[in-house]
Amino acid sequence: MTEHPGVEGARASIDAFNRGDMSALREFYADDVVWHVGGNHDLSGDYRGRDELFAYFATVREMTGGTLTLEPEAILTSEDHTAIFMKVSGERDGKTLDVTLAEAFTIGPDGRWTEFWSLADDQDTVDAFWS
Amino acid sequence: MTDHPNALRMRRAVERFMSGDMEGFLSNFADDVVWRTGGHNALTGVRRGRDEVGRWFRSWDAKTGGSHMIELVDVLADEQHLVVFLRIKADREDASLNVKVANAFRLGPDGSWKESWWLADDQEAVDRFFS
Repeated sequence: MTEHPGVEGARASIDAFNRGDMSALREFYADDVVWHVGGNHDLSGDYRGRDELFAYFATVREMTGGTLTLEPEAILTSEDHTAIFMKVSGERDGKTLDVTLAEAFTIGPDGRWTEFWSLADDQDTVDAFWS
Repeated sequence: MTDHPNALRMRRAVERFMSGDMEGFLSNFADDVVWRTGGHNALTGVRRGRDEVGRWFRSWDAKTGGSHMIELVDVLADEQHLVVFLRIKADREDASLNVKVANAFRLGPDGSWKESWWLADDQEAVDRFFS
């Protein structure tokens, strides 16, 4: 069975993140993407536009020394939205992170992602890791 | 994925909630459900079990004065996962709310809702409304 293009794109974006290929990753996002990060930690809040978003990714990679790894568990998609359930693991200052994130996003008319919600199942653990 | 039986179950559940059939709505949760709410407001935190979740939804109802309108924007599902996008509007004498929410669920073997967490596009608006 051929994969839905949304599923292929989601998988390709995770691969790009894991190998640190930020220029490949940029292609998936609309210029005016809005990214919502929940929780009560230093990185919580909204990121607006591709530049802000990639500055956030760079911070995340720097804070974890490049150890942050995404492992997709399920990818769901429709015409307008995609969701990825993924295991997120990483290390930082002797702390380890091992949670499931649900990333839910809106697909724009040109196929690029316009709005993102990054939702953690165990928010307290995520807050402690990034604070 | 949008017409998966688990997606159709969510559509029916939202209809029940909106028609005031709280018992019918709550019957979709597993007995040992874990319901997680982020942010900084009166509804924030983890609720365990269907009874606690029922109280959470009744306090939601009370806070909105029954004025809320929940529109199901999209739902994605497979056997074990579900993400629903909702537009939530509510009006009270002193406040109003209009947000788009992404709500992730882990499903039990029978399709019941075992674990859930959600995030709004404007968390501050949610915090103000439910504070």
